[in-house]
Amino acid sequence: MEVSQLPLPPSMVEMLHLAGFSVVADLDGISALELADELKMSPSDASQLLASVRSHGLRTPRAPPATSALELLHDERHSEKIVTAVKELDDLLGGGIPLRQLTELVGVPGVGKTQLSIQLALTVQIPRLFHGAEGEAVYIDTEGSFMAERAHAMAEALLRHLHATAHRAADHAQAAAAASLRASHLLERIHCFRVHDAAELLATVRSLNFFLAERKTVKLVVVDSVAFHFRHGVSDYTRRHQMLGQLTQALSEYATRHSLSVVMVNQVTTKVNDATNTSSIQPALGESWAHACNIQLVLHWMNGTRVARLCKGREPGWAEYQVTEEGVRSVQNPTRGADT
Amino acid sequence: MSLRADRRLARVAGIERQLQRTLEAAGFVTCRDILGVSVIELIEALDVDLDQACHLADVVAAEVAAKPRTAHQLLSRMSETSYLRTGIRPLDAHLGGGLPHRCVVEAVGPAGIGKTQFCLAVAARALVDGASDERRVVHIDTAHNLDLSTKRLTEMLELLLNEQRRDSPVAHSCTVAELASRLLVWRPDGWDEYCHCLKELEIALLAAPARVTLIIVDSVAAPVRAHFYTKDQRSTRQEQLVAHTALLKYLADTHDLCVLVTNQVQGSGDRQMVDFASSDCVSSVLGRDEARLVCCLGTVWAHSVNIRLVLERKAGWASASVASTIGIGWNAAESQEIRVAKAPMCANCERFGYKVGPEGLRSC
Repeated sequence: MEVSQLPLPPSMVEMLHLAGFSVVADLDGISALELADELKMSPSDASQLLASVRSHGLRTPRAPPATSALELLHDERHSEKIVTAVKELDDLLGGGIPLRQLTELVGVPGVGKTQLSIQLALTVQIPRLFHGAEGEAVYIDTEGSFMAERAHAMAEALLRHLHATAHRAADHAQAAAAASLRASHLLERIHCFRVHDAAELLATVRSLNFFLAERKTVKLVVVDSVAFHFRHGVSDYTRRHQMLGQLTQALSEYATRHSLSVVMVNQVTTKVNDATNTSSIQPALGESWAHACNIQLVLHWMNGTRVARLCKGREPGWAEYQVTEEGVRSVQNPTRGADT
Repeated sequence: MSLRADRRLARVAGIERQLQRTLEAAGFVTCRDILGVSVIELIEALDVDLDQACHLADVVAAEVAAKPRTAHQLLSRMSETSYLRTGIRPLDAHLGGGLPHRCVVEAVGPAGIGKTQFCLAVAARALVDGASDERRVVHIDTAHNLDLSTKRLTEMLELLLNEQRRDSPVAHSCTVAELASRLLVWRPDGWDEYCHCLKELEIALLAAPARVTLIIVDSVAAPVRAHFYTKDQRSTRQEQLVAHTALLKYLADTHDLCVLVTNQVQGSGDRQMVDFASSDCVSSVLGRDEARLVCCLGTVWAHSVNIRLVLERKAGWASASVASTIGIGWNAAESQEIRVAKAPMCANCERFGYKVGPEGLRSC
């Protein structure tokens, strides 16, 4: 391993180079005093340097253990999903929004992105007895669109659904679990962060590291929306890319480490082709962002009905849905709730 | 806008003196400067090791990060006074009580449909309902619509005051003049002046002798359309428009008030876009044809508002015959509707018929 690969201050690397240390092995067996003499630095600085070389440099990076596709299949089948409560959409998704993945929710204004996100923050809390993830939710609200009253109405509807499910199955354990839940409990498990610009968004996502370490039960992180603050204030194109990359990398790390689901809401933009004088609607944030997510759900209107289209992640398909008093639901059977 | 990200690094506790000096020398002044760059860039720029760079990034992030509040806490801060009534009762009920605080609400519709009337009606009710607390309203009149409407406003105030006195006889005594003096009107000319107004607004809000519960911008489309009219300005327009909405949202959130903006419509040259973005669609009866119109300012803007109310004209059941017999240009028996095209707290888009009455808008 080269000395320059060590996570040392650049000036320190330079000094080592000048003194003839080019690979880490050159420092093997050297004492702090010797090094201090070679580098013309104080013995305490030298011993600090050696300590940091030992802690980083001698740790050879190891490839993560391989798993077989069969194991992955087993994991996927048995891992909890966050139901969307639209039966046809859940079927397309193989049961719901999966944990450990980044899901992009993109759509035109007013189609129901925020409402679906609020609902996911509730359905993630469905108890294990009902095959839910029984987790808490983090909701990063960049647009001021999180409506607590709406969340309350949806929570009541979800509880009614759980009661009905337990009743139908005549399952006493389920009935007891449903009876112990209150709408206020569900709302207490949604943690909202209101951010006002891109820098606050980045800071909040970075600090989430500590929040998630404390609250191991968080199973869903929603960012509603990623696009808004990146569409102003960050005029430098490369800078915007780097910031978006930083954001997705952090969220993707959390998704794996805490086995939680990340849902990122994206806006659409009108691309105008001046040559042909036509325009089309496309997801905002550009082409390279489109690679960031594992699953992409596009919400749009089709002949006056709302449609969710699965564009990436599994076999493509689409499902109609509607937004009712209870929340986001299937069209065919409006009273049908979160299918468990 | 006083954002946490603009805090100077020198004020952040937890950064050592030595590092503070290095930061200053390397040109890092505010928290934003640190948050925008990667850890690798920090190592290079500050000549520190990985752990130090990560620690610095963590400290700054913790300083700027938003503090969590549970949905339960957010719900408990909502009360009856967190809504501004429009006067159209079914609409108010649908929205949970009226136009909610902390939201940017857009009223969009064709010319002459009553957007300014709608604004005045909401303003008048906000003044009367908040009379005992001396609540104020800021009206940014970019289209200079208010010239012709001040008399109308006093009429509305008069009627609403009488109504209030009738309903609760012990109510405070407040004159129309007093209420009218609590409506602060700003009349910027052009986009630049308008943006300048918004920047000053926060100082005005803090300096106001009592709380401002409503900011009206009538209209946002007028200065934008006058200022950005060439194709080359498209991306600048978008960016400035979003930045301006972010500012409005910031004001709405931090000062716990409602922002009501009006927007215009334009003919749609592009079929495909209208089909796809149905919240953009506005129908209106012009002459005897139902015209297909779209909201101005594009998708970016449509994404930015929290609530979109579309004011539309619909041909009434008796319309065709009446119009042809009277022979006037527009439809006499038309009915007017407000459609809730976007609202994160509502079920499927609902429509509410309304008409303009002496005390403002009322349901019909």
